[in-house]
Amino acid sequence: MPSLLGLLRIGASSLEAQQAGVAVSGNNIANATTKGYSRRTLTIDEGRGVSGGAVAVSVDRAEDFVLSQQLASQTGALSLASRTGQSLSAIEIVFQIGQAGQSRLASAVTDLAQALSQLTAAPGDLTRRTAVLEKGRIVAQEFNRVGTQLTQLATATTQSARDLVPAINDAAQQVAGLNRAILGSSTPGLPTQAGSNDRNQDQRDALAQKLAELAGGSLLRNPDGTYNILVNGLALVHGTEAQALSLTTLPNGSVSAAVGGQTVQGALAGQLGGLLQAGAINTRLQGQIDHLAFDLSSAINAQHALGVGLDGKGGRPFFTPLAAAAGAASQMALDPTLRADQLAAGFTAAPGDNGNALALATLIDQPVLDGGRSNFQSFYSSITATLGFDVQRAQSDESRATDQQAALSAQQQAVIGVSTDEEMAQVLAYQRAFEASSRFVQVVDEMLQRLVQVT
Amino acid sequence: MRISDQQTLNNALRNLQSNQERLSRSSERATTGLEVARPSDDPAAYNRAADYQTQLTRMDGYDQNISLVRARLASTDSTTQSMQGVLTRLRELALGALGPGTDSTLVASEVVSLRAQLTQLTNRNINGEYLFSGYSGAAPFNANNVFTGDNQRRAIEVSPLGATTFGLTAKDAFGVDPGQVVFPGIDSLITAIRTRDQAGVNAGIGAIDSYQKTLAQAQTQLGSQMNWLDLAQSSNQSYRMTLNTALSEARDADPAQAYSALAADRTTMEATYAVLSAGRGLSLVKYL
Repeated sequence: MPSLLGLLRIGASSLEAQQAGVAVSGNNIANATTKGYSRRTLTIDEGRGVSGGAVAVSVDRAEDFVLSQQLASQTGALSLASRTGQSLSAIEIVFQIGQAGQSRLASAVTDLAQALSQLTAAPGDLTRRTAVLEKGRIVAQEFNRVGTQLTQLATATTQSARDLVPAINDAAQQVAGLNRAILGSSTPGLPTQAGSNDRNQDQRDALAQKLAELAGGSLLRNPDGTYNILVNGLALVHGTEAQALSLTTLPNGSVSAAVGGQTVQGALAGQLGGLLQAGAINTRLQGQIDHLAFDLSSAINAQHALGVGLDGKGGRPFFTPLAAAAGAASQMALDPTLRADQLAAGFTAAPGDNGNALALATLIDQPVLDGGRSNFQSFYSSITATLGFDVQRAQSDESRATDQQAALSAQQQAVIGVSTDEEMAQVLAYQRAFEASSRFVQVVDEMLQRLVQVT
Repeated sequence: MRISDQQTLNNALRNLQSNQERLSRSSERATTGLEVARPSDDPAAYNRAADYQTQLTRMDGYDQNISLVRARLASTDSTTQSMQGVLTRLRELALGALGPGTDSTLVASEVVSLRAQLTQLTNRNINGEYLFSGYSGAAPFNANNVFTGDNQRRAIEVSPLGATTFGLTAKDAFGVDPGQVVFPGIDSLITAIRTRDQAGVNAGIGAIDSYQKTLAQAQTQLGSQMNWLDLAQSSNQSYRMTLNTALSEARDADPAQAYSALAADRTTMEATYAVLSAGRGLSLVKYL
């Protein structure tokens, strides 16, 4: 039979256990909005023997690794799609329909064709000749604008990708460090601070998700409880070790990633993957626009050279001849020496000869670009259509990934998230139990007092 | 299912975000009137719209060319009519030139002055461009009435169907080739009147007849050119309407639809706010 003092201990143990419960719930509530925090639950067990009382035996951290794994992969897919979409939207503005009812580049070329068509009606008219030169200058300027804007956007995209690298490597280092700490504290015989392991795990999980968002890292759990974080099969974090991620700009302007010196194969996920993908699309687009600028200026030059100016001289270029397609859009310019009277509107010096002006005006509609396969409109359309479909794909990927990520995140929060209502209800339970135990201690005390008075 | 605070918050944020995105897109549609503003809105429609817009812009050019060509054809027409008048007057004079009681010297001098009028008419120009000089920019007939121009006609784009040649060459109107004298029969007529050579005058009348015939044929050609111009203009007009409709269908937002979508998105947004603030009040803490 327990002694009266033993009964006091029962009460005391319960008071202690309920306080621990209030502390755990209080901590949960305090961290309801802490990023990466997993709610803790207190397990109260009965003490040994009849007067064992209650013992707070453990504080457990809620977790579901499989959910974390899936969430990481969806987060990587989502940030890939949204970063790609974001960068491509900026590129798309270059081709936005403007005041003229179509993109500025397309309307500049249309205006040139129209000015040439009007020149055919009065080929000797200097005002009309000057108008053609002016429209030609605007075509070159529009190509320059598009070329420059695409180059600037490419530079910005590459810079953003480079800016991500330190953050990725820092997070990988931290995960490796936390892996070490977690491994150390779970090794028997090593002294650890109570609860510090849970905190390390919270931080590590949050960092792992961050790595998924930044670099599309996927999660693996080792039997010893440490995490590996892989990027397309290469280990950014391998247990307690981290490998550095680096970016290299290749001669063709595209950027490739390497982990620990090994080149990453295939497309990356995460923000970095999105930026690299947008960069690759931009490189392709620049190539296409350069190709268009080169072919268009070459075709117009070739036709223009066939005609003669009012001075009877032929063989003059309209645009400054370009050596190669690379960089053609940025370099395109109206031949600065070409004067209005030298514009080759005819095949003879006769001011009424409009033969070449007519040929130039219709050239825009002829399949003279891309090795004779496209005219301006079809070439330009193929460029904008591919870009449009790229953006659409990124947008639909984003909306799908958003839904899946939200569903997974909700599932994960259902397991690890704090519900303040639930915690308040728990606190009430602990409070009532605490009150009851206090009352119990008071009763035992009164019994003890009675005993003392009697003796 | 357990519902955690974070979950509720994430949900609310996500809904706010997606509703705001939708609202911003539908406001853009309603305010710009454009359903397709960039390639990704609908790549095919974007390119169709660009194509229609290009054709519409070109159409403006065709219309300007039409009015220019029309002015040129009109002055060519009035010039040839004046010439017909002069030739008719010449024919009348020639018929009575050697009649009894006619002062043939007087007649000869009138014929000379009419000849000068014809020369003026053949060298007629509009806005500095000679009507019958072909491609050449100089006056087509020199002081000796020798044709120094060429017989080329310009092809001009007046419709999407392509370029058509307009105007009359000196060959069309007067039957001359470069280096030849225009209306040589009139010069012979003057000599015949002065020398009172009836056979020569008769030959002159024959020549005038043939000039009038050639000119009349050229006038018919001019008439059919003007007809073609009218046809091109009216077909351009109806094609322009078709293009405008097609462009609008490809690119523009349906206003009724755009406004009702905007209203619907606004309502959803308001509902989201209402639900959010209603949810915020629900907490056990309030009841303790």
